[in-house]
Amino acid sequence: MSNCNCNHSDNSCKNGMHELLAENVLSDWLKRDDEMNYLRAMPSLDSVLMWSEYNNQPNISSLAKKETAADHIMNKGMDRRSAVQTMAAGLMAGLGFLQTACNPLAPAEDREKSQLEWDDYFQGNFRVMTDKEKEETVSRLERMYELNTGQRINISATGPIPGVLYGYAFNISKCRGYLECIRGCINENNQDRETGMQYITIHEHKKGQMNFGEAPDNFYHEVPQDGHFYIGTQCMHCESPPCVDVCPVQATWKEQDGIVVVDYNWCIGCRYCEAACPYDARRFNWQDPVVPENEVNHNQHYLGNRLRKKGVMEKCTFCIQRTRDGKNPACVEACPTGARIFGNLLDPNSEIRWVLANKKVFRLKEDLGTEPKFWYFMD
Amino acid sequence: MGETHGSEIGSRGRNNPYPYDCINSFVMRLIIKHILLISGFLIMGCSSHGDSRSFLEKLEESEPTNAAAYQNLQPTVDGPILIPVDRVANPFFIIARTGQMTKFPCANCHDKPLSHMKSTDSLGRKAHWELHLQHAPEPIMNCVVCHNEGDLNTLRTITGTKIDFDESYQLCQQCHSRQYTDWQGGAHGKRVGGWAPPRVMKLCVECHNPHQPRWDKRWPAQPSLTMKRLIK
Repeated sequence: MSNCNCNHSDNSCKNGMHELLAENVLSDWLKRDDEMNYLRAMPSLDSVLMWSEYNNQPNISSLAKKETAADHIMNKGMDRRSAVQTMAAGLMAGLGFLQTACNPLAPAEDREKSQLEWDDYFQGNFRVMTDKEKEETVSRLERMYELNTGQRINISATGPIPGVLYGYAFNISKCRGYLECIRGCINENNQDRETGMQYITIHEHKKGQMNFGEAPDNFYHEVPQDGHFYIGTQCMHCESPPCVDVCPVQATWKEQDGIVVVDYNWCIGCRYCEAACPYDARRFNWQDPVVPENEVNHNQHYLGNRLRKKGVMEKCTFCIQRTRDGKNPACVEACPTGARIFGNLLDPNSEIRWVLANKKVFRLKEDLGTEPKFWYFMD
Repeated sequence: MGETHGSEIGSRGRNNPYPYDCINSFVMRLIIKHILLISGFLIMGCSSHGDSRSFLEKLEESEPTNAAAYQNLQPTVDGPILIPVDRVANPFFIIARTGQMTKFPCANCHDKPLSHMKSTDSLGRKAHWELHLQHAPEPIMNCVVCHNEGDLNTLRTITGTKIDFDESYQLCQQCHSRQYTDWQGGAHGKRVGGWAPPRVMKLCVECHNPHQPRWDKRWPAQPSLTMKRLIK
């Protein structure tokens, strides 16, 4: 294959493999059993990949992304001299960038873009912004997206509704492993299609035991399997979230309505929160997320599903862009079985309060004292 | 030194370079232990006194949400005719079904009693040919357990009371009382629209085909994460 630029010495880059991969249509090749077996036999792809392995994966022309300038600099090994040179060049570029912003002769659009990028760079922490600053920030982000793609989006900065505390209940007798929730979540939250980012995990447990270590979350067969039951996990939006405590820059916090959010512009990508979370709820963007323009959900929230960038954390936000408008999260809406229940914990007439009062509920890892607002129950 | 006890303390004390060695005595250790234990209890008791309630207890004692909190929200169910289910503790709504049924009213075709409409030609049934009743064993259930033979525009309970098609849940609850309780409360069924009031629920028959209520197996909506990574 001419477009193969990986340097694997093993047989994972055989032509057959590449032709197979280049099809990039899952449903087609899933039907072909022999090729499935071939894939399964590959040791390096069998498990979740490390970042270093990930970079060395065969690069398919249809999937290959253009290397950005930042990637180019960051990925290059260099000595001190060239580092100084690069930094000097960066300084010059920065000056040039400032010059473009101030230069009356440059095209108006370029000047505006430079100005916006300049403002973006010096943006403060969303949590301490005034309402006016929040308004300016989201309109700047909307304008930047329009200048970059020509598409208009709506980013909201809606605050919490007073007297509302969100809670979630999951009926483990009802879940049948259809994974409609995962698909709904990915479409709603503009998650990276290329790395298969997903916030929700559905674990297939054998009946009679509940051992997450032995419950596969990578099943793909007709569901529900006989003798199995299904449990979904995602961000539990703890009342005392350990992920918030460990953040060194306070880029993540719990909102008044109980939703744990991330300021993607303030996050430095240290992944402490990912390590601190007992529920495997946090996700890291190892690359710039790729979402085809026609699949982008244009109804966005600053703390929710707006497009992320490389090197920041993201997580389930109970679909903050929907729930603060009174709608249900996408997973609740997508679930055909009614296993997912969402509502206001402070409203005694809400469904979630009825479940808590009338069902035998439990939470995962309750002994850690994180007070997750995500309960499980059975019929 | 290790085996010294009570009476030897005095004689040991005379030449002892450490005058507070008496702390080794059994009685003193006992007293100190007790002081530590009691003060420990006191400290723990004071610190946990303010917040010994569980999260659920706190919720139940919290200030209930004011209805005004929801007033700025746009309605999430807009369009269909809503019918209140109000003879329950927490009233809610269902969506009118008769307007959505394609061949309603049934009397358009069923203008004479069922016994007169049996097909006599070789082609068999002219309508409802896809219906197979797989709900309960034959001796327990047949068509007229739910359908009103005299007036096919309505349904009937076991005792013969007429029930509107919009209120078909009344029929289901005759046997499935546990599911009905859960549906009323919010632990069973599928909600229409958002989480905020008013609460609108789907009818039983919108998810469960009353003639074949069991759900079939199917393939998941999408492969899992690991499968996707394999493609790369």
